This record gives sequence, structure tokens and C-alpha cells, in this order.
Amino acid sequence: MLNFDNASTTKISKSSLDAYVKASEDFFNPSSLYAQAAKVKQDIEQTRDFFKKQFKAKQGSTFIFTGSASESNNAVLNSCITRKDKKYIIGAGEHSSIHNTAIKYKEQGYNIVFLPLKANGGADINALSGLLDQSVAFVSIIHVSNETGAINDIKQIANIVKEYNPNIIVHSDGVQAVGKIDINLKEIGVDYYTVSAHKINGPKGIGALYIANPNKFKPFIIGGGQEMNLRAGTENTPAINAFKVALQEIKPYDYSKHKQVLLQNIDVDYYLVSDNECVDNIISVCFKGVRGETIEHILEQKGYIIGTGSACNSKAGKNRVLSQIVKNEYIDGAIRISFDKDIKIEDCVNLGKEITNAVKLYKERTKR
Amino acid sequence: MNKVILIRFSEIHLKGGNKKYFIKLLYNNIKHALKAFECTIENIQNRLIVKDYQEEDEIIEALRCVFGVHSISKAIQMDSDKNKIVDYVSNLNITGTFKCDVNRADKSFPIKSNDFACDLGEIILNNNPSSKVDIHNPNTVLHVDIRENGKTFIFYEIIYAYSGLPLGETRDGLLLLSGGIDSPVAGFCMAKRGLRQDILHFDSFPYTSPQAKEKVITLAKTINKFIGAKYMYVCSMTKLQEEFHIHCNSEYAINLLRRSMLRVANILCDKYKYKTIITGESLGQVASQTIESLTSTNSVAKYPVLRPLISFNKDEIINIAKDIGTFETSVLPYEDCCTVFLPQNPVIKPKIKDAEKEESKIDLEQLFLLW
Repeated sequence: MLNFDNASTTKISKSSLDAYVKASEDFFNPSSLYAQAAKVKQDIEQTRDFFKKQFKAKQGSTFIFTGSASESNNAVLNSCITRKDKKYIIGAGEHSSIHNTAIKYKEQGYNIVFLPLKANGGADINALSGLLDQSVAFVSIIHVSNETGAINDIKQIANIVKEYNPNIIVHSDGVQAVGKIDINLKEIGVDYYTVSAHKINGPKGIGALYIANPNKFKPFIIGGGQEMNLRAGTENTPAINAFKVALQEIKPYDYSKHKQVLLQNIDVDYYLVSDNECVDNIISVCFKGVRGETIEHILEQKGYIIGTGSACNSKAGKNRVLSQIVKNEYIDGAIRISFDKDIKIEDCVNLGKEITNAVKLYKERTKR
Repeated sequence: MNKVILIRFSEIHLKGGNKKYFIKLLYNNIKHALKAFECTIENIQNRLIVKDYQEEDEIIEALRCVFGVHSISKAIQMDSDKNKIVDYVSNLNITGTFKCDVNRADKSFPIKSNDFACDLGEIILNNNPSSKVDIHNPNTVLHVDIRENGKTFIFYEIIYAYSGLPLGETRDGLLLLSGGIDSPVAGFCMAKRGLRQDILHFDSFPYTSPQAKEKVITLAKTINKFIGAKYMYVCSMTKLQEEFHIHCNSEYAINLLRRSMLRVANILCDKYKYKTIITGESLGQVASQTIESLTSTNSVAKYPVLRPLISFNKDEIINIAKDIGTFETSVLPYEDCCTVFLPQNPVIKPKIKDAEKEESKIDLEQLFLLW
């Protein structure tokens, strides 16, 4: 089985898994006072320092470890959306953990506005200035779209926002950006940044949140004072150590050839959502007159795992992000292909051919 | 004197020579339903009792799902000794309005039912100054059931079960189960009449998702405490649907599909000795459930097709689905029949000969060899 659904999750690497197992054996509670516990605590602090260095965090900032990127995103919105007389700008293509949380606040009467999308699923920066006014308190825009791979220029977004009013808090969900594009948090100038381990060959159940000004952050989970009083709960030391190893192993990797070869081998008409302003490892492509989910199942039978843009059921509704940018006749036939390092060029050739076969087979069997 | 759960039968007392058989069947079904609990089940005249148990509420819930059980009560069992009963009632704490209801099945008991009820009522009134008799709308009813075997049961509440007949020993029915609201209810309804059933489900992978099948498996598990299935068959209709779609008149697509579903059911009935097929059809609910559509599908069935919901309104079906716990699963969004193959305008009054004409356009026999 070849996994072309790596934007959903990746396989944990051997070294990350080894680190997880080893840290599990050092089971001591980092908050305890004996020497073994102190060593565990020290490991966590070293990992935190490594994160700061790796992401070029600004002086005085920190990272906290969370249970998932969804928790990190929820924590930021919980801390920042506090006043009903303020305006909060949320990208229209955010991950569900941001979108659904924002909708929850909107339903409670908070003034949430959505920044529209461009055709490739990226945020329409030109529309940002029009939304800014003195009541804006918070902006959250995803760094790389999980649906289409569109890269948002967060540095430019933060610049526009901070130039308008330096007190506006800026957050970005960087889950799909880590390991794919260079991240320099000091330069980008965001106040919060979300990352996750399982998208970069680390374990599941661990995320982290960059906090530029820890004294302004209101903790989401309150309890025993762990993580400098910013996130309670006994630290998930195995996952934290494994996250560090996964991050250490990241190397720049060029997927442009993969994308090119795959698309070259799809010999049926398609609509490509993921243009040149997208990361090369995520490709959203749509076919007219087919159902993405059926294509997914046909490919699954051939040994290829891909993702779908839209489920095979009308009741569950259309894909929230794609329905804003893709013509109606294409949405049902959306699929998402996402690479990882173990995918070879010839695998892309084969997948392209199998996609062609699947789409042709579908059309032939359902033609009238 | 000990704490018991009293079980009353439905309909079984109407049976003549078969009464013993039905009671034994019910006893076995109850034993099976309570196998997870530590308890003993005893057969006394015209009643079953459960004793030596801990999890009272859980046992009562399990008993409610056993067909043939009319009602259940948490009771105190004692010897049918007038003084002992009076002693017990003297110590009861009853406030508000009440009445006593005495049932004297044992005619050798020295006092008539009504007289004894009055005596007991007086005792309660004397011992509980805040109590008051109200025979029409009391807050509390004290039941005293004096049985023929020298035992008396005293209880307050009667919890009604689904009644019906005990589920048979053999799996005689084959339930066509989809992910919708109706077919689980149909299975429940026939099980209520004692029909034990296995399950047949049709899927259309890859046009439908594995979650759609999982949903049906969840439904099957939910109704299994009622229908007593041992096997669930899953049959892919994908190839047939593709063939109908490509070669046949689209208006007939659903009718042809349903005819084929019954043919598959025939095969299983032949092979595994099921005697009847159960569907969730309700007359006129959709195009495939008009009398003409049912006539067309029925014409290929080799076994009686039971349609317990045929006269039910949708809201009546939904109420039962909610009661038996299948509704929430049934309304999950995974479709088990992909809309790709659904015609815009399905035929409302299909004719058997037209359906046969459409079927002749494909090699149906060859396709059925796939099974």
C-alpha cells in the first residue's frame, strides 16, 4: 500500500518511534523533585530550547507542548476572543479546529469575519485591508492550506496588520508548513504559531504552540501549573522527545518533480486547484462527472491511498473550503494527493496512470 | 421473604397444548438475555421470577427486550400467609394517595380479594396518618398478587415490556437490512411475533463508503438483542447496478435492483433454509413501494415476503426506531445506495413484463453466478 495521503498524517519514523519508546521507559513525572524526574524535566526544557532555535523564535517567547494542533488552535482563540465589541478576522480556508471554534464564538454573538479565498485556496490578502478597522483585535490565517497546499505570506499579512495597529494579535496555523517551507518566526512577526508532530513523521497526540508574549496568554487548560503555568497536565514526555527527533530529521525536500510527473501522467481532463503558489507536496485536483470518494476507493483497491475533497454523501454537505473556490460541477470529483519522502518518482507515474484508469472506469461504468 | 423480579407473560396463556413449549422457550430466551448477570431464574405457575441478583435496573432493561414478556415488577416474595402479609404491609411507609390491589389466584386463600384490599388499606391508613385512599388516581398502588403455589408477591410498579411471542429456536427469517430507518424496525416487528432472523445487507462499494457498511453493522448489533441473529451476509450489488445503469431503462433501475435483491435472498433461503424474507417496505412511501412496484419485486420471490411496516406512517416508524435505539444510527449521513445510480424519475407503476424485458438486456444468470 502506498500512502499518498500524507497531509492527513504521516508514518512515524523509526528514530522518532525509538525516542518515544526510550522516553516512555524514563517514566518519571517531570514535576517531581527527585533526580530522575529532574532529568526528564531537563529533556523537556532542552526540547523547548531546540524548538525556539529551530523556528527562530523571538527573545522572550516560548513554546508550550499541547495534546494536538487542534488544542493549540483552540487555546489561541480561547485566549484572544474575549470581547463582543471587538472584531476577529479568521481565514475562510482554516482547518476545522479554527473554523468550528470561530463559528462557536460567532454563534455566541462575537463579531467574527472571514477573509475570503483566492482560486488556489490561499487567503486573499488584497481583501485584508478592507476588513481592518479600529475594532479588530485578532487575525488568524493558516500558513499552508491543508486542502490545497496554498502558501499564505504570513509575514506580509502580519506586516499589514501590525502596521495598521500593532496591538492586533496575529496567529497562524503552521501545521502543513513545517518541513515544507522555511519558518522564521521572528521575521514573520506573528504572536502565535501552531505546529504538530504527526504531519512530520512524529507521533500523534502531540502539538506545540509558539507564544510570543507568554504574559498575555490566558491558559486554556488549567491545573497543576505545568508548562510555566500556560498549559496544565502532566507533560507527554515520550511524545515531546519523539517530536523533537522528528523535527531534527526534517530536511528540505523538493517535491516539484513528483507533482509534475503525477500531473503529466493523468491522461483525462482535470481542474488543478493547487497552482504554483502552493507547496509541491499537496495537490488538490478535480475531475468533472465523477465522485472523489469512489475514485479513492477504486485506487485503494489498487494499493494507493489518497485523500478526498468531498465525501460520497449529499447529507454531509460539500467540502467547506473547495466549495468557495471550485465550480460546482468539479467539487464532487475532488481528490487530494500528498507526498512524503518515501514516495518515488515512479510511484507518481503509476499513480497518475491509475487515477486516469479509475476516472475512465468510473465514467464508463456510469455512462448512459 | 426475599427480593425478586417478577415476570408476567403475554399471549402464552392463550396457548393450549403448546403452552409448556412456549414457556420453556421464553425461559431459555430470558436465560440468554441475562447471561451476563449473576442470578437465578425460577418458573412458578404462570410467572417467571429472577432472584439472587445485584444489578436490578440492568436486568429489568434486558428483560424488557425479551419478547413474550408482558410486564415486569420489582417485588417482595413471601409465603401466602395472611398474618405475614399483614405484618409486612403494617411496616410500609406510604405517603399521599394510594390504593391496594389484591389479586387472589389462589382461591384457597381465606379472604376474598376486595375484602383483603380493604383490610390492607385500613392498616396503611392507620399506620400512615398522611396517607389517603384514592381508588381512581392514586400516587401509589400496592399490588398483592397471591399465586396458586402458596407464594405471594407484593409490589408497586408494573414496567411494561414489548409483549409478543418468544423468539423461536430456529432462524427462520432473513431480514433485508439497509442503513435506513425502516428495515431495522421491520426486523424488530417480526421478532415481536417470535420470528428469529439472520440479516442480509447489500452494498455498492466503491460507490458507497466503508462507513456506510459500518453503519449497518452498528444497526445490526443494536437490533440483535431483539432479532437473535447469528449471521449477517453482505452482498455487493455494484456489478449489477453498473449493468442496469449502462444497459437498461433508467426509470426501471430501482425496480430491477430490488428484484435482484430478492433473487439474492432466494438463493440464501434455498441454501440456509430460511422460510421467509422480511423487508421494511411501507405502501406508497417512495416510488419503489407502490403496489405495482411491490407486485413486480414480489413476483421474483420464492418465499413469503413479510412487510410488517406496510401500513405504518413514517412518524410511527420513527417513533419505534427511537424507542429501540436505531434512529440515531439510521440518520447518520452515510448513504448505502449511491445517488449515482438513482434515476431522476423512477417508474411508479412498473409492469412485470417490462421489468423482465429490461432484465433480458443483460446476462442476469451469468451475473448471479458471481455469487
